[in-house]
Amino acid sequence: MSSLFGTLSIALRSLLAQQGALDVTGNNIANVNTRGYARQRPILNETPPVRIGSLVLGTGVSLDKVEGIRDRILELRIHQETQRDGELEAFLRAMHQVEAAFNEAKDVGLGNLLDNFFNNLLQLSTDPSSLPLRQGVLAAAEDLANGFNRRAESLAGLQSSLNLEVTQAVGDINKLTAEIADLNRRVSGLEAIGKDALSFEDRRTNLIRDLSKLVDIAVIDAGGGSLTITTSNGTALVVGDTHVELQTQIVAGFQNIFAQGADITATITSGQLGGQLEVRDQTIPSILADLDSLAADLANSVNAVHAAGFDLTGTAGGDFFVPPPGGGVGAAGVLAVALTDPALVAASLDGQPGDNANLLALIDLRDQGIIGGQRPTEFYSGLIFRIGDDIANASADSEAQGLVLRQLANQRSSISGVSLDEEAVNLIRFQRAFEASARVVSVVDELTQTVINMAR
Amino acid sequence: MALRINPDTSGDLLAALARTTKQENKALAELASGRRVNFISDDPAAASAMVINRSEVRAMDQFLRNVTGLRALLQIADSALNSVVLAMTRVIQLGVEGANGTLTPDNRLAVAAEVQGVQEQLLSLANLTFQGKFVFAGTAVTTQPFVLDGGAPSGVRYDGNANVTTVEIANGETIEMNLPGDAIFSDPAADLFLAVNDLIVALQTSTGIPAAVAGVEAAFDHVNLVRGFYGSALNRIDSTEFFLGREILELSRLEEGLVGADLAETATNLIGAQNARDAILAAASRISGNSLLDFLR
Repeated sequence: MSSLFGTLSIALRSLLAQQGALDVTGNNIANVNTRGYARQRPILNETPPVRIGSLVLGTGVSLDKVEGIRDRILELRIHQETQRDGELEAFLRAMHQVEAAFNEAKDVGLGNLLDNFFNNLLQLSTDPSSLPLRQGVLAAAEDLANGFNRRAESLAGLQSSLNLEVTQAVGDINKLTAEIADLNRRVSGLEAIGKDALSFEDRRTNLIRDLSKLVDIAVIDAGGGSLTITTSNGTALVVGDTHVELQTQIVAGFQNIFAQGADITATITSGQLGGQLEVRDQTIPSILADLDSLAADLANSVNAVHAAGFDLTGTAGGDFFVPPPGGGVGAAGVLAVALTDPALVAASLDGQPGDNANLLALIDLRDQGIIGGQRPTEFYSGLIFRIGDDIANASADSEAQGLVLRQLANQRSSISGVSLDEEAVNLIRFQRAFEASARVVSVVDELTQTVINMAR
Repeated sequence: MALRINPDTSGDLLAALARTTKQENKALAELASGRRVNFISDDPAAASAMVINRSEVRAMDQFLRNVTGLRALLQIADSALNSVVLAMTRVIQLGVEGANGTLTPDNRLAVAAEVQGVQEQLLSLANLTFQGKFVFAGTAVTTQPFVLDGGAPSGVRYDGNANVTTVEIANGETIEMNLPGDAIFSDPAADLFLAVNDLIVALQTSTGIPAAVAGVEAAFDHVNLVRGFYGSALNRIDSTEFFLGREILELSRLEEGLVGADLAETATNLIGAQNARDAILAAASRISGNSLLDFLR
């Protein structure tokens, strides 16, 4: 038999516990729209019973802890899929700009300029000594050279802007890793003294999600509430409560990424940074190399045939195009027409002004495999296909990735999302329990009054 | 407890709306341009095939332009040779007249003078120009091919060459666009100017006129023979023009098939996308926003 005051304290404990539970419910409702919030559940436990003689009596309830309901494995999966999503997004953003430079779907592409050059030669062949037609050939050749120059310039410009994006991404990464390190400290600090670090964990999970959008990471549980974060290839980013600052440095004209003195650019494979680096360091250089091949081989072949002919003055033909750099590197960016005087176009093979045999040889280059065994138009068509195909594949992947993320988000929401219906029911439960315990308090109060009056 | 249901449907709603909007935009772009392929990534295979197709069409257009330009040149040359034939007919007439035994040497001199007049006409026909270039000079088109030369037995000297200019008029098909003047007028077996000159001399000296007339007739036959070149070239041009026109049509049709939009299909897609969007919006407005809290006081 415990005292009345014992009963009072049971009621009091209950009041506090139910009020605490109401707090948790209220917190859930308040955070129904908070990104990355995991709903919290109050854990109510019986307080240890007390022995009185042969009786064992309960002593009430206490709110022992507040639990955040989350599936850590699912969240890890979301981080992984977010990396690929970020990579595809950055890749597509950059590649759509490349696509704009090669828009053969409208009638203004490089293919058109190439055809125009050969067709002007074809026109000249009907009247080889005509100065206006010769001027037409030079003009078409200049348009072609400009076309190459402009596209090479666009691609180089795109690489520059990707440099800026890379620097920006590294800055963002550093901010995130600094915050995550700080949160590591708080979370492990709280866990060390046995407390739950709920909102800090939520915040940390959000930051890790943002970080995985930027770069490919691996998250390892280091125990004691601390998470170690490295890139998927092993470069440490966050260890305990310290973070590693990434730096950018220019290497061969491009911003490369350094961690503690080592160049880790090539090890970054996913996330937005991965996508940007892929376009800057692989896709665009490959396209430029193809353009350079086209420009250099075309210029060299034209020059070779031109040199075999004679111009209007009867002199042997000189260079038609300015000879491209050795090995063709950068040829597209510097392609230029060497002739300015239309009379110097070497159309003739027999030295006479009415002969067009050398023109026929020049025109014939259109059907010869002068670009590494392929005809110029064929080669260019292949380049167009490769660019379009890369983009189309990435688009399809991106859509599929979007669906995967959507599904994972739904799964997470079904586990950790706040349901207002559920919280409404909880409100009722805890409210009633509070009211009932308050009733117990009033009853005990009356009983105490009765006892006091008994002794009067 | 059974699986808890996802309480937040807003993400799915937005994703569905985004999807239908994207479909709408794509259909609109197709309708506006009439093309299914507006960017190379819409259909990389079709876009790259189109590059090659377009290139062929442009080349054919150029061939067609060349052919039209050539026709003018060939027709002028042919018509000049027609005049040559008519002139030669006159010379033969004069020669036969001169061979008539009843004429006096003075009469013959008069006939010779007439023949000389025709000879000048023949010379200027042989030096025909088209757009400033000599037509019968081989490839030496800026040099006058037939020049008066007192030292030459025929009285003229050929300063042109025997080279022929060929032009491509269709894929892999070439045509010769000129006949060198020496093949027409100074062929060793039937030299026109020599024959005419001989006739003039014969008339002036009243000797060997029938032989001279025979020489002129031989030259006349030769010109008639070789001018067939221009006639057949013109025929080839006509048939090539017809063929090119058809080819261009075929290639255009091919391109339409590759990248053209089926307008009926696209319009249907657009309507479908719009309907889907409206349906999603209507459904969303009914189901979202209600919870138990609305029913509790």
